[in-house]
Amino acid sequence: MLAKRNEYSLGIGVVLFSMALILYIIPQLVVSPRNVANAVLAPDFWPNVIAWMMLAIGIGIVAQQFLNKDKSKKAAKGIPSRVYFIRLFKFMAFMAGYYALIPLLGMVWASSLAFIVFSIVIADSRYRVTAVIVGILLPLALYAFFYHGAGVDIPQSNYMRLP
Amino acid sequence: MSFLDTLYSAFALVSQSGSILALGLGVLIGVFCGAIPGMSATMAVALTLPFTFALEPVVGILLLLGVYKGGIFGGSIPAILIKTPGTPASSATIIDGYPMAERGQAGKALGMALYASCTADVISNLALILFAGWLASFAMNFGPPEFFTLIVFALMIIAGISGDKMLLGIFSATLGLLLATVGLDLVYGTDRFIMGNPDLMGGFNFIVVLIGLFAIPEIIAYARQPSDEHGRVRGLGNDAVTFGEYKRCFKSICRGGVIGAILGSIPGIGAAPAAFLSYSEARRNSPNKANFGKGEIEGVAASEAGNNGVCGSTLIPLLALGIPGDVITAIIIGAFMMHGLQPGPLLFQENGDLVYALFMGLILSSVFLLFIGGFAIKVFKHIADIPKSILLPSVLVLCVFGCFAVNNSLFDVMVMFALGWFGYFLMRSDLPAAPFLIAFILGPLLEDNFRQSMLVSGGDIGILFRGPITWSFWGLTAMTLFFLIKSHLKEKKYESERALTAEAVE
Repeated sequence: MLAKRNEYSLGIGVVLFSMALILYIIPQLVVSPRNVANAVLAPDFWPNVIAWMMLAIGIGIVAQQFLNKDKSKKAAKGIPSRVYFIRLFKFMAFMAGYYALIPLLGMVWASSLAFIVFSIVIADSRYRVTAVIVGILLPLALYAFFYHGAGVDIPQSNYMRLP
Repeated sequence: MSFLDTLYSAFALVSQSGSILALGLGVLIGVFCGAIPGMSATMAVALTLPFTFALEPVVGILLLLGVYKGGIFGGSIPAILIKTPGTPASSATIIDGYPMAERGQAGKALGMALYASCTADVISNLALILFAGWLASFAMNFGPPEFFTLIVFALMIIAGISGDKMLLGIFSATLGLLLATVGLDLVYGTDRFIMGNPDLMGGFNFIVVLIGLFAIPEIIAYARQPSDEHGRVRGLGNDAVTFGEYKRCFKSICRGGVIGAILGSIPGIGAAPAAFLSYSEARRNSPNKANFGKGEIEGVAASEAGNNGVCGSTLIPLLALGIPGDVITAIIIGAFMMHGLQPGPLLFQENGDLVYALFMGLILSSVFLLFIGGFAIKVFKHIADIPKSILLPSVLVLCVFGCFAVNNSLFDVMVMFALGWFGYFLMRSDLPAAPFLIAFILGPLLEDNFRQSMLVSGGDIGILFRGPITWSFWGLTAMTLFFLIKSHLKEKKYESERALTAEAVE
């Protein structure tokens, strides 16, 4: 369960987000023609309804925490330590790298590399040989299925093209 | 086409080798994935979905249904062998399954889990066959206002009960509704949240959202704290289930199957609560109630009957009304949509052969489950040993290929990664992801029916209260909200009292 302070923050976050939606995001990013005969049919009507619902929910979450007489100190879900943050940040960089490599190396070789890096470097696997074998064979098998079986044009590298 | 002709075409569809192979393969994949801790039945169905693009509709959907059924049973294998449920639905199986495994009776527990699953599966399939058509013919009277109120009711129940906290569940659903508005407006063709990106004109793809929300967060959570450790895998032992034991548990199995079938037909409840309810009812009514929790075979039978009893009946609201009752059926609705089919009352009229082929396939899947499950018990015990450092990179690669295959678009892969981080945020914030996904699927339908109602009435909101059906759904929605708030307040009061007692003790 969320700690009380976190739920306060979440509630306030929801209120701020919904206000941003109502005041800025929807007027700026939803194009609504001027000649709409009925307001309920306008393209921005439904997003506005959702945003107002969110606002009500956000206020509800904050009010619930405010009125909650439960003074017990619930066990917070372990505040993420610096180590965890660094790991998450590294994994985000890894995902970005994987995505960036697909157009350069092709999906198969980028996936092989990503598999091996994930398994051996990030997860520090004891099964390194297995990781290398599966890392090479799995993307090749998926390529064979999607390219030859399902007719999906899997992106390929200019340097190492597969049949 | 007469009813007999429809049945004949359905039989022709299901008896083709591709359908039978897909069903068998689906059950095998499902049991395999369900047996791996960290791969839920949901993830298995989600990852199989992209592989069905190239298949015929009936073959693809049968493959997914096989994965679903196999996955729910497969979850019992690690639950019994290593005290880790392969799927949340198998949590109740641990209570008696693991103590049996500790006594060297894992094989007996798994055997009973299999027989109970197959029996309950048959009960659930019968419920589907009996009630889906009836509900669909009733739903033929529905117009846009009735569908609008039905979807509001379904969303309320799903958002309200799928998490610990009602408001967080409803918030999660509103986020899903908001994401569903991205793309071109269907009436005026104007931009909504597109920001000039042509890739967003059609909105976010359902499969991309699904994989992003349900597979990637598990990978991120693993990357945050990587470990290959898990409990010791127990041996199967030499004992097998006797007919006498099956007979003794038969009443609990049937009760569990009926409980599963009833709870499964209500959107939002899912297999885990059905398993626990079935287990507690079996314990309440059993002459061996003192043995429950210590390795009672009837406990394993009841919990497995409860969770597998849900499988067929969750398809009742899906096929008859087009409303997915849980995340797995939400994925299956995606398979229908991918093939240009819209589940709902019209599906029975326009694609009756497909619907009856699915019914026949489901009955066949119970038989497949019996044989494949029996084989899996003997062989798949080693699957629980697959290290996560090999499994999760494999899942990541599968996600990337699967997402790309949806539209041949790398943009979708980026969206999947972004939604994965969003899903991880939901997971860490205790925001349930199921209401988000179901609202994302039902959002366009909700808006569409609302706008159609407004077009018909010339903007008069009164049309949403036009007859007994709409009033019934509004009444059910209000009742659901009332009971949710009541149980929420009761829980709060209980928590406060418990905290005060704890303080007094200190």
